[in-house]
Amino acid sequence: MVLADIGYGTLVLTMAVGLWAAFAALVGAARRRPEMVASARNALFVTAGLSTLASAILLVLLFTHEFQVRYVYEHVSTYLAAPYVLSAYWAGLEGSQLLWLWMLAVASAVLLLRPPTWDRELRPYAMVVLGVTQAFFALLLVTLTNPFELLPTVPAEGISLNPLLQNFWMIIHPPIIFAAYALWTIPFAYAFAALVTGRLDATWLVGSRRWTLAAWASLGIGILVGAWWAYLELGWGGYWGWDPVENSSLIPWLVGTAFVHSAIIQQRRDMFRGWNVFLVSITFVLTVFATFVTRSGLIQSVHAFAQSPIGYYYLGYMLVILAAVAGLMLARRRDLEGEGQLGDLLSREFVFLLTNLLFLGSAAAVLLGTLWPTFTEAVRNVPTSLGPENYNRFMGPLGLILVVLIGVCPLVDWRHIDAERLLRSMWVQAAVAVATAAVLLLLGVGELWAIISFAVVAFVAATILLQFAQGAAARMRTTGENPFTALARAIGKNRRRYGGQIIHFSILLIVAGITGSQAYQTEVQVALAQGEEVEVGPYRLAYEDYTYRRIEDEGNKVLNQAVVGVYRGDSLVATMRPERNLHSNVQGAVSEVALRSNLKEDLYVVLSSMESDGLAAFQVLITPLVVWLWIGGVVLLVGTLIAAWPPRREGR
Amino acid sequence: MSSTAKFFVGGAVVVAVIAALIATSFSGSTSDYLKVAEVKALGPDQTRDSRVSGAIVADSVEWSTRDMHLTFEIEDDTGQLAISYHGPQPDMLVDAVEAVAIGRYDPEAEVFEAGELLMKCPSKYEAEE
Repeated sequence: MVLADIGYGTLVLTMAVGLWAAFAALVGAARRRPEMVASARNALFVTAGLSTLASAILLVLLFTHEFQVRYVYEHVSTYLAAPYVLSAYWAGLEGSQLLWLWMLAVASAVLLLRPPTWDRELRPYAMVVLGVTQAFFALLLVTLTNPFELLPTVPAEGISLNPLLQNFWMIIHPPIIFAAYALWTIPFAYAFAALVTGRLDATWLVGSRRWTLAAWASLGIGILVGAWWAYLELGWGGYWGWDPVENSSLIPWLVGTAFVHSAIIQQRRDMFRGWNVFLVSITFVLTVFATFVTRSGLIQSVHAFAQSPIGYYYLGYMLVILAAVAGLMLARRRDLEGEGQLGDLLSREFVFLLTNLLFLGSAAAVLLGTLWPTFTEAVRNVPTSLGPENYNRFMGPLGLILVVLIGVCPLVDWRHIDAERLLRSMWVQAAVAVATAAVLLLLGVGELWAIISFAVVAFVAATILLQFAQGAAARMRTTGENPFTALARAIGKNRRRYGGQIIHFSILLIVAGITGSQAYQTEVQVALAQGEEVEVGPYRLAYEDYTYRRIEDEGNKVLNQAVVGVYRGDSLVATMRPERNLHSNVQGAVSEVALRSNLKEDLYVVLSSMESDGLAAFQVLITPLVVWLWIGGVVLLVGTLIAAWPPRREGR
Repeated sequence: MSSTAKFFVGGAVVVAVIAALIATSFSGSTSDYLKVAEVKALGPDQTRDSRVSGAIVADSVEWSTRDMHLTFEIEDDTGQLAISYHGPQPDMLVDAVEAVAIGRYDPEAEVFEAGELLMKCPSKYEAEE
């Protein structure tokens, strides 16, 4: 297989050129030799080209069904639909590491395309990080997880992609997550450069702000897309199970969110210099850790370490980064002291600090929970695992306090505010919150914690909407514009502030979605023969028909489908077709959920089993407000785009 | 008290509260994995759910759609255990897969009544990230 050999060769070259880039950038910067820095820049363009070539080769091999390549054999088949052949690229350990590498190489090249401006001094050192990280992933691919490895014989057919992964959202989820991981490398690279050069003022933060926002938003949206996939495909009616794989992407998001907030403090008040370097470094290390967790199998069992040395590679790389950052921070401890003075306890500075501690605390707790089975297995030889209830018990309160702070923070002044003035500025929001709780109680909605949660959401939503109203009103007074123009222009004039508020609003939508779906889910499990009916909440479900079919051109997939009419009163509102199918490449049956979604609630029907005479077991769930999680994700994206949009050039 | 000191005291209090919250959340209901023999030694007065895992014994799976009732046996290096579960049939339920059952043991009937079942399927997340 010449093509596979070329693919492997490009990876070897990527590693070598990546190392050269790091070395040349370091020497060029330290010895003030611009030609070396230029060579490093060219080298990073070369790695972008090489990893693009490697990716293209892998895709060609996948699409041409070259089953002699083990990765191709394991992840595609002749009957796999084209979009899933594309997603097979990142379906395995080898491919997903190649995707990481490729995303990072492309992001690095995009960064380097623009001539240095604010980062003239910092950029060479940032290139060291980019080169080393690319070389690290290339090293993994070349030594332990070669995607171009050949089998001794040529199989006639491939195993094909796991049917659980044959879902649109699973095509886009991994690229978004890996893009986020790759993008986090860039703010970290600048933090490293700031440490090396001692230029620890806010320059590196301001300069890399858009990269940070892009990384932060992609990670959040990637997590939501993953949750959406789990909801659609795993067939248990939930979207988040505190599984190690899910946790490992949430942990860097939590620390990254702390960083995004404390970066604001450094820009405004020149405080938290060292803290910011620490946070972005930890975020980056955690993205590497996430790849390691999902891929090494360490969390499933410590014995995974014995099976493959890949865990040691990841662990080694994380330790090298942490040691380098710790050493540099120690050496630069004088430059890490900012000018800013701490304010009073009732000050915006302290609210930001509180936010930071809450994010870090929850990240630490989720990390501890994720590693808990590994620790206990190592110590006592028996793994002890934590269930969702353990996580909910701390994430619920911590999350709600964080949401309250979103609403309080804009009301608190920098340095100091009187308690009395603060309370007086909150009465409208407080009234809205109390009214919300009262209405819910009057409606007879149960679950105290959910009512508290909705009241908190109402409190914060009122704060945010008041901010928008005040901004628009101020413009209307001075310019005489109509309300809509005034609002749009107010947002346009201060994109960072209002973009941030829109993001905060998206978090409220997500919290409302989580609260509604967690507190008020209705579940019915029932066995029905054809023609029988069941009442679930406001709906009447009639099991009308069923299909049993063997689909030969999809590798002898056996389709079991039930046809369920959904009625409200006597009118048919939907016909749902849940499936439970057998696939040749997995043992056991795989459910395909039927879903009917609206703004109020989701009706979710799972075919649990079906006999040959059509007797079928159903699991029917009504989950209120769950759709607001996904709407929140869209709003989050919009808010981030507004916050990150470049300001108009002067003179226009 | 200087403002720096106030900040540190305030921060320390917050950290302590968060740590306490996390500690109570973790200690509350971490249920240990038991071996099959340990489960069988449990008396009738169990106050907490236990977890037991093992490979599903070949041909032991029986599923009644009408009752939505599943029975099967698991085995580990200490013996075999009958599991009973009411609810939807889990995906990927096949022989030799590792099953985790969470529930209580009924020493009279010698059956483990599982409230929750998890299938340990190593390939499930092969490509999630």
